[in-house]
Amino acid sequence: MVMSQKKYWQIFKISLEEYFVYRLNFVMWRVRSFVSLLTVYFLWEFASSKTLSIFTYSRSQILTYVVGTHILRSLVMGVRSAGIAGEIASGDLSNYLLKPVSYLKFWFTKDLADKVSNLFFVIFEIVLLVKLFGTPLFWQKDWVYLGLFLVSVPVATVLFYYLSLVLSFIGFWIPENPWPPRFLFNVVTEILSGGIFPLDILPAVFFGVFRFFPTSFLLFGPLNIYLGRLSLGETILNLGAAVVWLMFFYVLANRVWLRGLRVYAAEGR
Amino acid sequence: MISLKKYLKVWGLMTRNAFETALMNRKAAVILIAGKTIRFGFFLVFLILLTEKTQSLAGYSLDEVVFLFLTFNFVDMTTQLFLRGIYLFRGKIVSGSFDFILLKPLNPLFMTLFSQTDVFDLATWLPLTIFMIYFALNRLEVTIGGLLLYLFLIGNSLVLALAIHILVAAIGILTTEVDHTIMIFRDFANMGKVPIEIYAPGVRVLLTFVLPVAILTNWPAKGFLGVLTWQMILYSVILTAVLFLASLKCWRYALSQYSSASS
Repeated sequence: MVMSQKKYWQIFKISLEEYFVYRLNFVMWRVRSFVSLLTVYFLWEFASSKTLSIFTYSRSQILTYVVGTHILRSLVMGVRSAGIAGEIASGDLSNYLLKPVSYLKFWFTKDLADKVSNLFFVIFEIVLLVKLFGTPLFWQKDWVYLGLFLVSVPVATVLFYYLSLVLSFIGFWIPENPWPPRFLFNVVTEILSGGIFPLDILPAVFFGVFRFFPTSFLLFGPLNIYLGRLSLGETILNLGAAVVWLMFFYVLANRVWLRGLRVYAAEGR
Repeated sequence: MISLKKYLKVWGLMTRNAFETALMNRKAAVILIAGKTIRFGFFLVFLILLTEKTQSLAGYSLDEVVFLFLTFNFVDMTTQLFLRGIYLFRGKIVSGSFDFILLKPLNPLFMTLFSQTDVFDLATWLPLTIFMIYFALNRLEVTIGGLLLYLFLIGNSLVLALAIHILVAAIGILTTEVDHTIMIFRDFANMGKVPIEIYAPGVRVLLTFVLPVAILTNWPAKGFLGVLTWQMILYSVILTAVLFLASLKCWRYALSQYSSASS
């Protein structure tokens, strides 16, 4: 058991070290991430400066939401496992199948390394943003909500991992070009997770539908918990729904993986 | 004249090849176009919701904000439609296949930038252009002066975008760092999809005088709406001309420093 965990620790360490080999790539990626935050941040900053509350969010709440999506996006949605489809298409998957390592755990470990490195730098970016522009932040003081928020984040992280896995495994059946479905997935997820705006600013008929999608539990759900915008009962229900979706995609991902292995022919090799 | 005809013919051939390659996988084409349309649509909805709530955005009415957003998308999509070749440039440098481009009796800059017209962008560019014209005619006050200034500034923006792409190509030869450079440019350019006035003063100065994002994305629509002064118009023309000439010089210098990776 200990030996088994040691190899994943090594994978984690090596993945972290890879980032510091291609330092320029990493720095440019962080610069890009910070720049893409600025448009949405200033839109909300400007809009919230004109009124006491906007879409029932106070100024500090909405800016905390924007800052929170930037942090959580690195943690929840930063995945390297998007590369799985390419490995299936090229036949490189065969190398991993021959090794004494679980392919799914291998990629989860690499994703964890990605999240840790991104989180480390995202905190600097947020401190820079707050210092430069004097962002008023909302600090949750209720320990219950804080605790539930801290539970919702790993749930969202693992949920997105399995969601992304299911998409990557489509490569078993459509190996030709894995990029278009991933692009569409990224666009839809970014919007329906509340990455650009909180979902509850949409007309009620749309929000009523989108709030039940698994994507709403990735960013919007956890941040709503942090901001204390739901009652305790609603928060627990919200968390429960996220766990149900997580279990659904966990089972689906494992089933699709096993089915995919049966049709896998390593055509690229 | 003969030279122009030759380049147009070559561009036509390369575009046809690019289209045929792209359309080999029609499902992929539909999915990519759907993704771009959804992304455009949702951001537009977001802008509309926000501007309706605040009555105006940085002094611009809802119609003006939408027109600004549409103009940004027009400039962005036109640039990507024609200059898609830059995204494949790094691969040609590191593999050495750029040598084959240099051997041909065609301008290597032309071959680098214009070799890959994107059919997916064309499929979204056409409806966007039609919608933009329809929107301007029905929701805004159109004057001959505003329209002429708008078209002139759109042309200016496209030349400015071309200059930036030439600069990126030159940097690519010198450092092989192309992908991140062009994506950083696009990320900054994306900040121009909303009125620049929403940004903090320091950011506004950066986006106007250091990185010409405001000139590229905002000023054509502002010219149409009649909020640009003649000094700003003159500044944008001079900046574009200087940047274009500088980028060509950079490109020539980069070519003189090119050492093949072996083909």
